[in-house]
Amino acid sequence: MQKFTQLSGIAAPLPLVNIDTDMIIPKQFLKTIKRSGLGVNLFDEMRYDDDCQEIPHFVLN
Amino acid sequence: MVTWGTSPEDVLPITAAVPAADDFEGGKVGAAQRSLDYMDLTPGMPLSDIKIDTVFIGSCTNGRIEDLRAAAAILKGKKIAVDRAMVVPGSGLVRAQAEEEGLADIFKEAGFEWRLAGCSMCLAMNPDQLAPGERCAATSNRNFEGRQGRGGRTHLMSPAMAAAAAITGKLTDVRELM
Repeated sequence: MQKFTQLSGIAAPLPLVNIDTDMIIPKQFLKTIKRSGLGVNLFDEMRYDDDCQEIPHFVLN
Repeated sequence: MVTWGTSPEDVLPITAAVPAADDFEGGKVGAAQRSLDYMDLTPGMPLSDIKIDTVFIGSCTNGRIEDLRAAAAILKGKKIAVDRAMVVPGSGLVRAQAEEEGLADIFKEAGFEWRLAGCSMCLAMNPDQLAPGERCAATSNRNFEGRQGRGGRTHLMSPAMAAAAAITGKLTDVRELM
């Protein structure tokens, strides 16, 4: 097993303290036992407006 | 003790006032401002002036028989002054015992919905949800943004404090009703 020292990738800054589990993925999207398909709802409430349109200035959009 | 913000750590005595973002340091300043905006609260406002629309007592947290006894002791002979109030026993056994002890009748006579054991309004995965802007006194264990429904505002407190809020329609020091 290789020692974990470094992870390289694209960083998306989200300068907030207390990023809670309901922010990361709201619980209404957790009615699945699969481990895929959840990405579209990541940070859902910060990412989409009331009409389910992407909010342009959110870092993941 | 009641929460004013959107994390369980944002908690103050009921006799305190809503804090200002400047009362905090570092990254907490922005977090506090975000909480104040989400909760629609003004710094300096006494916590006991905050009006409540809905009261939610119980779920797995604070749904023990002792919790229901504490809330019922405050509610006995009183009527609710909020739009809706519900009590959700922590289990079927607790529910049966509460009915045997007469607690269920006290809740129902006060205007509470006497519900089956379950998650209910703790986490908005079912139809028991807050509308945007609706303010709730809850005995569950999370007050995150959107926890009880998108845009819903949650104040966490003990069952006795939630019962007091149900009677007066605002956050209330339960000691004034004892």
